[in-house]
Amino acid sequence: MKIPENYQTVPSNIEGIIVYAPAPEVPEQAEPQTYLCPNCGASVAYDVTARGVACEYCGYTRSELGLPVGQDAPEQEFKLDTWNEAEKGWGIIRKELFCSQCGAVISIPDVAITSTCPFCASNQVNIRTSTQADLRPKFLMPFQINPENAKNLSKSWLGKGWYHPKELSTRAFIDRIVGIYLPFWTFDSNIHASWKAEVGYERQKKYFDSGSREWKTRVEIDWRWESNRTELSVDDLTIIGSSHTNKKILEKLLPFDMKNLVNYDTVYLAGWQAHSFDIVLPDAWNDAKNSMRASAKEACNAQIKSPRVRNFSMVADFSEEKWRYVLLPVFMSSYRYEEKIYQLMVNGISGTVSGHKPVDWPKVWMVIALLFIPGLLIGLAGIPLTLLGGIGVFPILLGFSLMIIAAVIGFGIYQQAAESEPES
Amino acid sequence: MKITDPEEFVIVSASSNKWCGELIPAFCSHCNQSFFMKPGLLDQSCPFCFEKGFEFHPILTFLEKPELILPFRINLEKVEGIFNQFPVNFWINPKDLNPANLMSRASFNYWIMWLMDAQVDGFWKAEMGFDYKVKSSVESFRNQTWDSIDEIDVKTRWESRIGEVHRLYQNINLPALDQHGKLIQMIGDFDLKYAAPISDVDLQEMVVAPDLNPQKVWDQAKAQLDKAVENECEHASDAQHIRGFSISAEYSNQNWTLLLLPYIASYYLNDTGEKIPVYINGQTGQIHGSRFASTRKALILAGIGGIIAFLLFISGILAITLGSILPPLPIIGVLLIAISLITGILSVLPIIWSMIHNQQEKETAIYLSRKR
Repeated sequence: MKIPENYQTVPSNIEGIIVYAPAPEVPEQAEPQTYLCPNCGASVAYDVTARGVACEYCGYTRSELGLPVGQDAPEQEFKLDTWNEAEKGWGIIRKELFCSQCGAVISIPDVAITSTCPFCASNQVNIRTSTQADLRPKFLMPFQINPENAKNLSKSWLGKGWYHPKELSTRAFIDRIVGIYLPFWTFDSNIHASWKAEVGYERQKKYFDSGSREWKTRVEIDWRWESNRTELSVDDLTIIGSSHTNKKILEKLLPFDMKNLVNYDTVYLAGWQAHSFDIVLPDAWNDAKNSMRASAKEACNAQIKSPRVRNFSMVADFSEEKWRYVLLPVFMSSYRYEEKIYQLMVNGISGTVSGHKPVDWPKVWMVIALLFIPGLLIGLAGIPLTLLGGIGVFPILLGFSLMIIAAVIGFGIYQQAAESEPES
Repeated sequence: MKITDPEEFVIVSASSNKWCGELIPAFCSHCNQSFFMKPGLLDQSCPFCFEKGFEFHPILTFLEKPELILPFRINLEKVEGIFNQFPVNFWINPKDLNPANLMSRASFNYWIMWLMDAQVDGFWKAEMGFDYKVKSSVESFRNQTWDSIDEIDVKTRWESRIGEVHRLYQNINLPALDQHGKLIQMIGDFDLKYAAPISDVDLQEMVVAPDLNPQKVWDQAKAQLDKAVENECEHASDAQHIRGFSISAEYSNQNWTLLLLPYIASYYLNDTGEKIPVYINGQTGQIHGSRFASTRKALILAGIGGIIAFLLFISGILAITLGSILPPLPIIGVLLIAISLITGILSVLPIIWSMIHNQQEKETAIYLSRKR
């Protein structure tokens, strides 16, 4: 019998018994890698159009990339040892990178996975390594939109929305658009939920009113204990793994279609920025669990046929919990408008744009004021009609109702407008 | 001992025998079972068929003498205690089934088995199961707040392993008699750590002659060796489970040794005079024997019950007939008839019980003698 090449000896507890196990898939790319053009020696980068590495100087391209794994990308269980390790974060953090091309020592951010040497312009990826193999990125979604398209999409997005300055798309100066792979956690779980509550059902009851000496009806509530169970399956719930980005803007870029996932390959990162997670797995799982709890509660409430509920309690048994650590493509940018800087982001797959925009507040206030006018006019018309006799009450009530509706709509417009501005 | 030609048994005669000093070959003329014994034991009953009729005669068996012995750890006094505790006094037991009879017929004998050592060199392949812990949780919502209880589940991850084995395996237990399994089933296993060299012991007991040579038990030996390797590979790999184990190996340096195991045989007679065996493990004292009920006793009890029922019935009829003379008599008559019917039904019970009990005992009964 021949020992296969991909097997290696592992420690044995008994003398005289030799054990061979399949060699673990040690990522050869765990060490920093530099991508250079084999033709001209210039730095090469991943090119969205070429779907591979390309040299912008001599035109060299190589596109030997793997097929997408999509949603079949294996997920990890919440193994106790991984969990304990995950609580510690990345473990070793390198803050300085020695450039193997020119020998320069470059200082890089804690979360950066890639870097471009400012001295020789070589693209280096895989700078940081985790002590735990499970916590290294295994899947990513390559950019499907190139920076130019992203810039165009951003410009067109800036022109949308009536409550922003009309000249925003023409006067805003988009400074620099940077494609960056951001860390995300995806979570799956099956939830078996059972609930118990007192549910109130309305019942009409006839009674004799001794005051008016006649039969009347009143509504009584019958409270009954009810219970039931439901099952819920959560698939690829996505939680942001970076605390260095604006969570509100980033959440508006979701969802990313997981069918675009591919196996992690440093080629995709060449020439692009990439960050590792700094929100550790347990913290991300807590966020996901909160969201799943809410979904489970909603599913239980949906089974209750009456709006009257009291003493509601439920138990949600989570099983088959799994997670994935993925890098997803996002363009990050900022633009300058009237001496103020605003942030924006573009989903690197779907092209969805999200960000902050300045608000033309006089325009907003004017629209809100206009909303109140019909109600005010009808109400005012009712006053003389009331004085003249009887029927003026109806226009007053109608005017009042219209003003309430205007207030609700106006508040909605104000909220939307306020949200689109950066928090001061 | 090194097996040079394990396929061959030889004819061992009294003159060629080298077995344990003075032991000479003999066989039972009733059941043809072969033994080695001292000449003074010729008038003893055979511990297999319990008939008298030993004859000194050359027998076909293994020439080499045993090397190890497990000495008796129970003496006559202890055997008496074991028989006294054997539940023989049930309500329709055969007359012959009592501790005194069992004690008087008890014979001390040695069973025989193989111990084998072998060097295993080869390659193996298996799937190893490694347990790992997974975190899960149960979330409960009560009084508008959520509580979380962590749960730890144990799951198994299966991984492929291959390897080499170069190990010497010692004292693999193998039968030297084709009825070895039956005996162990009855009186349980022996603890071989008390085995001693036979040269120090002057054997006074009968020894059953081996009828299985190493060649015949080789498949069993190989299976046991492979199982031993499988267990060690699992341990060597630090795994908690193993499946799909296969091995391709050479089994060299084989060393086969005969070992004597102590046991006691006795019997009782059932109603038909059949000898029902009772065996005791000479090391642990574990006893085994079928306890048949006496159908004769059951019939007698049923007969007595039937006669009583018949007399009661006649009395009842008489009482009813004489009712015109003495008015309360018919009531007594009816009662007597009712009691007679119940007695009649109950009187059949001993027969039914003994039949069911004996059927159950028959199904579980084990006999060593082939002549059954």
